[in-house]
Amino acid sequence: MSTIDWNDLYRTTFEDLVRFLHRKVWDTERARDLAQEAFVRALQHEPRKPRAWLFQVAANLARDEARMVIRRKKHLVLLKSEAESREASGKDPADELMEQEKWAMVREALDSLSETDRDALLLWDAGQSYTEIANELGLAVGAVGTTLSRARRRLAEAYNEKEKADVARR
Amino acid sequence: MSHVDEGALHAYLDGALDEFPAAEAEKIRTHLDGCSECAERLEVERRIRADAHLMLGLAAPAVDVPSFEEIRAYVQRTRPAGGRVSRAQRLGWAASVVLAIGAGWMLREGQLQQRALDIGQEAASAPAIGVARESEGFAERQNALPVEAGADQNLAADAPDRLTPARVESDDERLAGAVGELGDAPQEAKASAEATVRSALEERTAAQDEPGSPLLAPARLADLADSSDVLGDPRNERADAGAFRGAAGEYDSVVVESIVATGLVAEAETTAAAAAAMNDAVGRADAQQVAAPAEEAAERRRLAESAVPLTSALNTSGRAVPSAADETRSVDDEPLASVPGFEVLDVASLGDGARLYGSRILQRYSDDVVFEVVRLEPGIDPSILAAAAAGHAEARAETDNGWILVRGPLPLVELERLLGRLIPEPPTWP
Repeated sequence: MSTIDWNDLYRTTFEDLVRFLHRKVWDTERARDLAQEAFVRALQHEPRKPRAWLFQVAANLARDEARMVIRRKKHLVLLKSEAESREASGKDPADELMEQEKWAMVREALDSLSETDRDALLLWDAGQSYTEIANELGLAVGAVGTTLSRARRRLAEAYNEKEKADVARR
Repeated sequence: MSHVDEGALHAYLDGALDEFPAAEAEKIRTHLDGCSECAERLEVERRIRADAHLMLGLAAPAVDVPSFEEIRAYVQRTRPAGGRVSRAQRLGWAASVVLAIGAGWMLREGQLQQRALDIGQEAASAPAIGVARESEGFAERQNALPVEAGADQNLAADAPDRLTPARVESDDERLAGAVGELGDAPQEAKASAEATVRSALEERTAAQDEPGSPLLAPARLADLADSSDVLGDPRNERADAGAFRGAAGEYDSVVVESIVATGLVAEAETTAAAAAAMNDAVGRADAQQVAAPAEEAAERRRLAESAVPLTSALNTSGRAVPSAADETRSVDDEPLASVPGFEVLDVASLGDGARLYGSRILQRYSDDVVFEVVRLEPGIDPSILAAAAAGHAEARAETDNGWILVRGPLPLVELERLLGRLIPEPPTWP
């Protein structure tokens, strides 16, 4: 018999999971879909440590997603349901453009990190503990801080460089 | 104590020192309290940490949290009968198809029979020590397969816990050794061996679902099953001679792997004609794939009829699934590509009587969910198809060999995943 409070877990984890996924697939809707998928799988498997499990599955889903993008490199058309296709973002185009530019810079900065550094940072930002990050990435708990310090420094440096280059370009 | 390193400073800032050993955490705290140099460094790291957090925050999307009840209801609706075992069985079925294709290819090439003859002669004269050493290698590659029928537990106990492509790659020598091990096993031993192979495949595929499992990646059997689809479609231009032989080489691996598992059992009873065993393997997989029992056939018809018609504008004619009696079919006769791991309920050609437009395959996703795979011939536009039914989503991709569409009452992300399994890796993928 499962003792997991799924409602509570969902409430406290879903947004973190979407944020984590978003910084991997860079598409809000996709991140949301993948987060739902991770929860569907969690409900089917009922893992013992569901929160850590969810992030691990989410990481795998994001990895699959990246492969899928390459696989579908040409002419892929996704037909979302009519309701989805009609759905308007409701955002000001200028705001949306600015948001996308920021995302692009953060994305490039994150891409400049090693995979381990990036994952550690994203997992921490999604609320995972050092122990959970260590388990997920195969690190010693004591090494997580070192990984995070390096990742944070490199992210900040890379982002600042890109921001300077962007300002100079304008 | 020497100064605290950056990692410890970040752990301190993250409030994670409690996760360190108590003595170490206490040392760090004490040092930070009394060291002005480290206190300055701590402030520098605090700013870096805050900057990074701010930057990540720039890329934080607004999240619309869907109702959890919807997800729970979806899971209830699509829960497979028999739970995870059922899923594993389906994946096991996919593996058996791969086995059949690989074996079929080899048989078609006439290689196996020749090898079996050669092996039989070699085995008779092989020194016992040679067989033992080869067995050890096989056990190593079986990564803790369940060992039955008195097989040597120690051989499997030393097996590494991860199956890698390198360990299952085969060559003629390994195949010859594996087949030689089967020897002249009696029918009961072969049956037992079959159970062992299937059990191993099921365990492996089930284990692939668990994160942290050493088997999680690469999902080799699934990947191989993906490849089988390319081969399975004789009209598929991707399956050119080079690609065909490359993929067939992979199937060699699976065949060998399965035979190795069989060998663990047969080793104790040591005896069965290798070619006969291979033929049995092909026959079993063929039977599983195309010769459904009468009640299953009726069920397939019922589900096929109840599936949402996606091709109502077209006539469907002729089942592409070969008959059960067609045991001599070769790879070229394989049914059209389906998503590996899901039971095929129906296969039909799509056409208007004058022209073949493509094929449609119905597959069972779960007890009450059926999805459809439509492959259109090159040059045929999906617009000729009727729209997907209400409540159904669709993912489609245009490939060099025409459009592929996957439709069904499933989330788009799942349909995309199914679609992805029908599209091979691009050749440039590392």
